[in-house]
This record gives sequence, structure tokens and C-alpha cells, in this order.
Amino acid sequence: MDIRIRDLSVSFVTNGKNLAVLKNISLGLVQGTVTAIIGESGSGKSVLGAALARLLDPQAVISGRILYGDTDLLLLDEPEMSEIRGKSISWMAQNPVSAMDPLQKTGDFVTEILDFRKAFPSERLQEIGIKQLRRFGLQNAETVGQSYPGALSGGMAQRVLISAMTVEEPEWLIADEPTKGLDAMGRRQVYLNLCQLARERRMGMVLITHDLRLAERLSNYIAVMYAGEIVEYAGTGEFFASPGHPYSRGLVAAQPDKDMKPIPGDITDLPASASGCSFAPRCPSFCDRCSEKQKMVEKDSHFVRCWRYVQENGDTFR
Amino acid sequence: MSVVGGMFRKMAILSVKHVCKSYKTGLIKKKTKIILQDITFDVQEGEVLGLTGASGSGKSTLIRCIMRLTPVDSGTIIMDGTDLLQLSPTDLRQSRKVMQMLFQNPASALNPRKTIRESLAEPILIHQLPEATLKEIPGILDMLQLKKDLLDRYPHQLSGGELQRICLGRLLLLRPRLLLLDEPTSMLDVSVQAQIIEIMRNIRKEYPITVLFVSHDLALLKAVCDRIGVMEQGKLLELQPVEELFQHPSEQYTRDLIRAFNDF
Repeated sequence: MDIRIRDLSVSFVTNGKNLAVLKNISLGLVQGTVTAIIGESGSGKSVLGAALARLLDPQAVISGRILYGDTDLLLLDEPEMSEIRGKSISWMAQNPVSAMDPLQKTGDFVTEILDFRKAFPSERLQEIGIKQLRRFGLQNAETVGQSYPGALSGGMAQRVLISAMTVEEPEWLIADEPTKGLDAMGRRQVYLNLCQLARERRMGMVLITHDLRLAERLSNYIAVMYAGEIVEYAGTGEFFASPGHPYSRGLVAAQPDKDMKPIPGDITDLPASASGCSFAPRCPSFCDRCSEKQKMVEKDSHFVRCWRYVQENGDTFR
Repeated sequence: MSVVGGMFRKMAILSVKHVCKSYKTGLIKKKTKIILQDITFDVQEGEVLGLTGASGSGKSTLIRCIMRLTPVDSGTIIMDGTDLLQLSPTDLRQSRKVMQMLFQNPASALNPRKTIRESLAEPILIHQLPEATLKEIPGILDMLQLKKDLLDRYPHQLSGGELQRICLGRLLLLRPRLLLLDEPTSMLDVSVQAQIIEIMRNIRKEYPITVLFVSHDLALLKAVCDRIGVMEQGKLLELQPVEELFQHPSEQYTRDLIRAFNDF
């Protein structure tokens, strides 16, 4: 089933102040496709991923809707959400080693959810765990299954985590920075594993990443986040061929294999007008009109939250 | 000048010779785990030398050994003709003025109870530099493209990119000749990474600082380094100029690494 996010806002109260982390996010996620969420640290990507799996801190103030089919996930109680989490929507944490229990063998970790749900007789769990680890390229699965997380390399730990999070064959996988900290070989292996899930098993994916090369290779759609808002959404090919938002252009140009040109300023630079464009203080094309609220404009299914995109592309917008 | 491989090169600022390091593991049945095996290489004055390899290959341990934050089992580490491993604690502190290290996680590298101003002043006070050096702090902030109102904030009030630039500023106030960077941008996104690399390039235009850059990110090393060394399981497999390494890697592991990089 598709996931439709509607006007999702999340804020946290710290020191008596309300800190808005997500601001009216609306996004459609199509079943069996991969949507990459890219953007700077602090832009709200991981909070969005955690919100989809209903794993945010209980203190978080949440409004809006997250529709999984016709079910609003934000209205479910915890037992109902537990039935969905893992079975239908699974979430892969950012740091695989700290996501595991250091005193639990990785084989037991992979099948823990099956044991929790009493889905299989306990004597079959070991066999299922080994089969699952092998599926993700861990040839010495028996040995890996008997290891503790601390004994695994970064790439192996990431593959164990993918194994565990997909053991129930969920419809959706939310992968938070799956290649972070990996070398070229580990990164390629994780990419191949995620490809296998996306292409062969048609698993829908929300790929939260800084790794633009991974996003380009793996995803069907790109959503760019900046300061809690989605500022651009497009098909992946279209996005990398012609990014529309000035921030997206900066992000693409900052890659080591491109110009490696930095975006001036910092994400903590706040706009002069609270209702204006969040990127205005850093934007090379800034002008007075950027102090106005920016609407998402669309041309040929390419959505950009910047009035200049209209100016650059004529007036054929919806 | 010395002759290396038929080419004239500048003098080595740092010579690492036959460095070995191992750890004892286990409580009852003690085992020896070898971390570094007979590592030998030179870092030439003014160059950016990259070190790459899988997690656990010994990259970070090696630069910690160079800084003498981790003791070595054997070998010599010579900086400007002085064997760092033979220095007394007082002399070691002097040597650290010219040789500084930037860590992976800037948030854990700064004291959370000190303001940014205090953190920047700390190395000046520790190394007993003239008080006038404190007046260089605003200029350093300009160089790092940081606003002066950050000075009275605490680390938790800054972004990861701002924190890493503050850490870099702390080092630059000491005017080091050699910088050891341990995955300095691995926790940052591409735009912040590009900002830090641009700052490093600007600094190196002003004075010829030598850099030893540890990273698993081959794209980044390819963009910034003069030479790259590849490590695997505690061994330095090869060390070559960047183009040479990517076009004619001599070791199978390097070939696999570059193939994975190119295929991805």
C-alpha cells in the first residue's frame, strides 16, 4: 500500500521553547518504489523516518496524518502499531552496532522478532536466521550468527541489520544512512543488498542519506529537505539532470566528484522573515521576494519550493 | 632535497619507519592482536597524503601512534630529525605545537561546559603562547567563515559543521606544520564537507601546512590528496600518487577497492 504523508509537523519543547523540526510535510510514497530523502544534517530527515515508523520520542508534538492505505498511523495505539512495525513498515537505525544488543548473538538478533511473534517453532529460528544472513551475502552465516555485534566490521554489521529488519518481509523499509561510515567495498555490498530488496522483492523504501551517489543509483524519486521542509521533489533522473532549487543545486555541486563547491553559510542561519524561504540567508539568488512564503510549484511532476523556478521555466505551472 | 623514485621531492617532514603495534586481548587466555605491521612511509613537506582502507585496517591507530596518543611496540617516528618516540613528556608537548590532530567527532572533542571562546583560547594557554595570540581568534573565525556571535555559545548550540570548524580553528591558532585529520568530515554532509575542504585549501594557500588525511571516502581523497596509501589488516599495501593509484594499482586489495568505487 502507498504511504501518504499529509501536513506532518513535528516539534520538540526544549527549555520552554518550541523547536519545529518538521513543518507541514506532504509527500506521497508509492508502493514498490524507492524515495531518497536528502539534505543537510539537522534538516529533519531522520525525524521524518522515525515518524513514519512511529518511533519518535513520546515528548514530540506531532500533527498531521500519515496514511498507510486508509489507516492513519498517528491514530493507532501502540499494540496496533506493533503489528504494523516490522511486518509492514520496518525501520533500519543509523548506527548498526549500537542498534544491536551487545550481549545478544547476531543470529538471535535477526530472528528476535519472529520469536516475539511466535511465528515459527523456536527450533526453526536458527535455520531461518542463517538463511536470512546468507541471503544478504554473508557466506559464513553460521559463524556470523554466533558472533556478537562488537566482533563485526561496519559492512557486516549493516548487512546483519538489513537481515533483521527484513526478516518479516515488510512492504516498506525505512533505511537511515545505510552506507554511513563504510568503505567503498562495504558501501557497494550494502547498495547491492538494498537493490536486491527493491528490484527483486519490490520492497518500497525510504532511503534517508547524505550519500548522493547511493540516492542516484538506487532511488526512483528524490525529496530534498531543508530546515524541516521539503524544498524539491522529482524523479531521480530528472532531479540530477536539472536540480531546480538553489539549495539542491548547491548540494549536487558540493560532491567530491563534482566541483566540491560549498554552499555559503550554515543551516542554523535563520531567515529575516519567519514566513519567508528558509534558505534565503544562504541563497545566491536572494531577492526581496524571498521574504514571502514560498509555495511548492510544479512542472512535469518536478516540484520546487522557489518562486524563481517559475521565473526560469516560464509560467506553465500548476 | 632528496631523490625518491627518480624524482626530486621536498624533504620529508615526517618519517615513519618499521612501526609495529599489537594489543593483548582476553582475560584468561591472552591473545595478541596485531594492529600495525612494519609500517614505513614518509610524508613530504607541503603535501596532502591520504590513508585509506577498511574499518579496522589500522588507519586511526597509526595516526594516534604518530601523535603518541597510543604507544607503539617498535619502530621510529621522526619529525624534523627528532624521534618522537624518544621525547620526554615536556618535549612531547613542545612537538605537539607543530603537529596537531583533528578528530572524527567534533562534539566529543570539545568540553561541553566551556564556551567556544574558552575552547579556542585553551590551546593558547596550554602551550603558553603570547597573550597577543588571543587577539587572532576573530581573524581565525573569519578564515573559518564563522560568525563572531558563536564565541559566547556552548558546543551543543552549534551544528556539526560549525563545531568541526571550531576544532580546526583551535589547531590553526598554534600554527602547526603538520595536521593529522582522522575522518574529519565523515559525520558531515557533502555541503559542509565541501566547506571544510575549501577552508583547508585557503589556509594552505597562506602557509604550506602538511596534511595526513585518513578517510574511507575514496572520492574525497581523490579530490584533495597528492598521494594515497592503502592499508589492509595493519599493513600499508601501497602508497602512490593519486592518478597512478587509480590507473595502475599494484595490489589486489587496492584493485578490488577501486573497482568497488568505480562500479558504485
